Amino acid sequence: MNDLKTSVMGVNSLTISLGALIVIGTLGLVSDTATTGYLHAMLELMILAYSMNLFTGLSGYANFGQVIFYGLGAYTVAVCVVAFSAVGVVLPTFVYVIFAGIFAATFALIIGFPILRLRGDYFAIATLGINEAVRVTICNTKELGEGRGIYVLGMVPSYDIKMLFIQLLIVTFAAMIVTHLVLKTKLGYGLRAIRADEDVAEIMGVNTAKYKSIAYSIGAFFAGLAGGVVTLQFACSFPEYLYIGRSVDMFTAIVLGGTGTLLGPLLGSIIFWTVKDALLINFPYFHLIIFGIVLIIMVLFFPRGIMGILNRFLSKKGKVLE
Amino acid sequence: MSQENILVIDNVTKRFGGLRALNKVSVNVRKGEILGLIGPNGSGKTTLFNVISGFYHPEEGSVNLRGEDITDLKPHQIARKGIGRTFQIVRPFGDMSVLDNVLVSGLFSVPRGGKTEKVQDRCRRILEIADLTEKINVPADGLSIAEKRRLEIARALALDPQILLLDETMAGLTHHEVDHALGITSKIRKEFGLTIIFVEHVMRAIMAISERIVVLSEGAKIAEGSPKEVSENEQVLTAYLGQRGKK
Amino acid sequence: MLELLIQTIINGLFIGFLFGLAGMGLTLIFGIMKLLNFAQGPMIMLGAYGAFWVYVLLSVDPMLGILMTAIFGLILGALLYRGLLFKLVQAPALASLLVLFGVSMILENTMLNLWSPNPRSIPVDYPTFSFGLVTISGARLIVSAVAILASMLLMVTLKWTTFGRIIRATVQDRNAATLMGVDVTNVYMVGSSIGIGLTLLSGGLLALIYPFEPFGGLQYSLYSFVVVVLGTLGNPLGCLLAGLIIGLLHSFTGSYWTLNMSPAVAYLILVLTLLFRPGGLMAGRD
Repeated sequence: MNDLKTSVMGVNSLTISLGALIVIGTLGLVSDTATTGYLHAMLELMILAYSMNLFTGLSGYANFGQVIFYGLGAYTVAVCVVAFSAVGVVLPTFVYVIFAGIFAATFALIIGFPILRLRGDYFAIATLGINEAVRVTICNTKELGEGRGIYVLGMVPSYDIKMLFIQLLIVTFAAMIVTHLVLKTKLGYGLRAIRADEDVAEIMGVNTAKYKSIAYSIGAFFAGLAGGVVTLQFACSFPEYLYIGRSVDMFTAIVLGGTGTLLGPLLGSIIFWTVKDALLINFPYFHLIIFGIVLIIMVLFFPRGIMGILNRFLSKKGKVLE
Repeated sequence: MSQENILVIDNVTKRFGGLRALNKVSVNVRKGEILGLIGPNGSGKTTLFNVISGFYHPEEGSVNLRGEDITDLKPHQIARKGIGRTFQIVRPFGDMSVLDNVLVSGLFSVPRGGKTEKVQDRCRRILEIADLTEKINVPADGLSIAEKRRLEIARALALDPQILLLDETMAGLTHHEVDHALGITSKIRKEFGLTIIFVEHVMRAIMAISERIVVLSEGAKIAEGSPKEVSENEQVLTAYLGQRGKK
Repeated sequence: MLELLIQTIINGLFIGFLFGLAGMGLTLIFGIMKLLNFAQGPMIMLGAYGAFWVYVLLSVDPMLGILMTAIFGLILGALLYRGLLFKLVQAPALASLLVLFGVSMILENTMLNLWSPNPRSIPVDYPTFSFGLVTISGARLIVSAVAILASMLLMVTLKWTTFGRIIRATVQDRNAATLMGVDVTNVYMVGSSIGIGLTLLSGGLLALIYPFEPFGGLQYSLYSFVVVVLGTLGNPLGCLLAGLIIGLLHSFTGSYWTLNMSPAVAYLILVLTLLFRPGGLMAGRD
């Protein structure tokens, strides 16, 4: 048997991911507030990249509305905090964040039932349409603060950035573990088969409707958690959280790192975030043009991202990383 | 020789718009036999496969597997009840490795809680039979056409099926490759005790392995019998020659 | 009350022709290449800025600027096909959508660098006509007239010229067209050229009635998607009808509810159409 080893020098992809997370976590907790804020934003993108990867990265479905779950998560926390404090109840903040994840996942389950029957361009249009419809509706709903958002300042304990950072670390850890488990089990194999050829996957025994729906909801859950934390961070949920630009960041990060892998979202979001930051300082008006070009080049010439390039070298030595 | 019927196709009609792709077709498939399905192009062979595997649902008639009505089940349910198939135009999961291709159906054929390691072992054995052990880590896109066809057979076998539907697995192969494929087909049958239904144009292959042949023409069954009986049937000759005459 | 109703209908039809025209550009590219131009909205904005630039730099009549922009669009479409889009014809949906999303990012941020994030508009002083309490602005009249003219021209070309027949053959069956000796690559290039030309034309016309900004394209992308999905992807006549329906809907939402909710209503129609009548209203007709 000439199997590829899924580890390099005895280290597998999960260990690398968790190691990177420990490094980021330690750096964030010992350094000054500005650095913690920088890493905090990076982790948030990483969680979103994992959430995008779980469904879109694995199944190949072009989901342009992933940001809706982030936005709904943010609004869930805001609405819950306002509602609970109106009756004098203050829950620990992480409980609100979990509500956010559950609401986002439930919403995904409900809209997923009809729209996951659509394929390709049609699915992309539908996700974009629902995303914008919800955003416009929030912007015009008085109870949700219209365009101004919902403020929760003073209704929850003080927003120590380090405390929030720890919450994000836990969520990122969970996202990594879940991605690892998905890749190793039926769900991951089923989704990759769907990505390759959905009709054939169905004929090979994959209940495509069920598996798409599960992955879509798990992805939504993590995006909802990230959205929940952001409301605590800024003490407000804005309609801008549902703006499509954020989906672009997620797409760019996972395409850069490698879709459908464990290390891809990690590498992609670290590189995306550092490069974006550097470009923002040196070329304040050009960085998104450069990312546009990078996105096109990656998709056309390196469709498996950095992980694909890495594995091309590793496989010659009989090794492979996920 | 009276054997029980494993698959009963009863009076199936499938329309596309005004066209009747299948017109009241009935076929009984006996357990353990190798049944050849032949007919001119467009006679409904692949449509019949699509009806059996649940890809199409017929307007009339029914399909019964071991006495259970599977006519309106979804493809994945039918697959898990024990019907595996290949495709006329090969459709492997292109960017997945050969092993992963087979693992998909392997994993989805086992009941909940099945161990991945066990499935892996079984899939490797199947790949050995299909002569693909050397290519286990190669992405399916990188295989030759003959290898892709063998991969499709292996992938269907990993479902642990009772019935295997082979859709022109020999088309486009060289003389030597056809021999190889025939060898594998008989090996599979012996090892797994399968019922095989196959569509084929390569006459040498049909005569070599089928025990019984059903002939379709323009969506209807026009003959059924042993290879010898069928090859001497007037109607069959007309269907084939008639078509050639028209063109 | 009656005046409001008539005014609403007239406004709806006017904007509807513009939506229809924008949708035609999109539907042509989709029909021919099976490619959804995800950069549709930013391209509409580009058309608006093009017309604006010519108007500001050369101080000529905006109509001339719009014409020049449309011609630029024809060239851009051909170049874009030769340089990029040809790679997407056989690509999976996700890949081509992402590439066109990259094109959107490049376009939007180029416009941002050239023209600042502030909304712009082209001030025109075309006369306004009044009939009792119903008024019709000259700008809207001209815009619809040009939109109707361009749509008719496209439909006549598709229906009665040899070139149009070649395009329709390619839309119906790419492989069969190739077998009949059609050079599909050229058809694709011309389709991309005309499609993007029409898109920029609709953007230029839009600039006469509405303000525009670098990131304002998303809304128009979605309106175009609604129009082409409702009017059956790849069907220009259906597209024009769908444009009118959406225009009326837009106008009625504005008059009788609030203009802010108009996009939400349109997107809801989009999703419902996709779910319940994915072939569009014209499904099954030629």
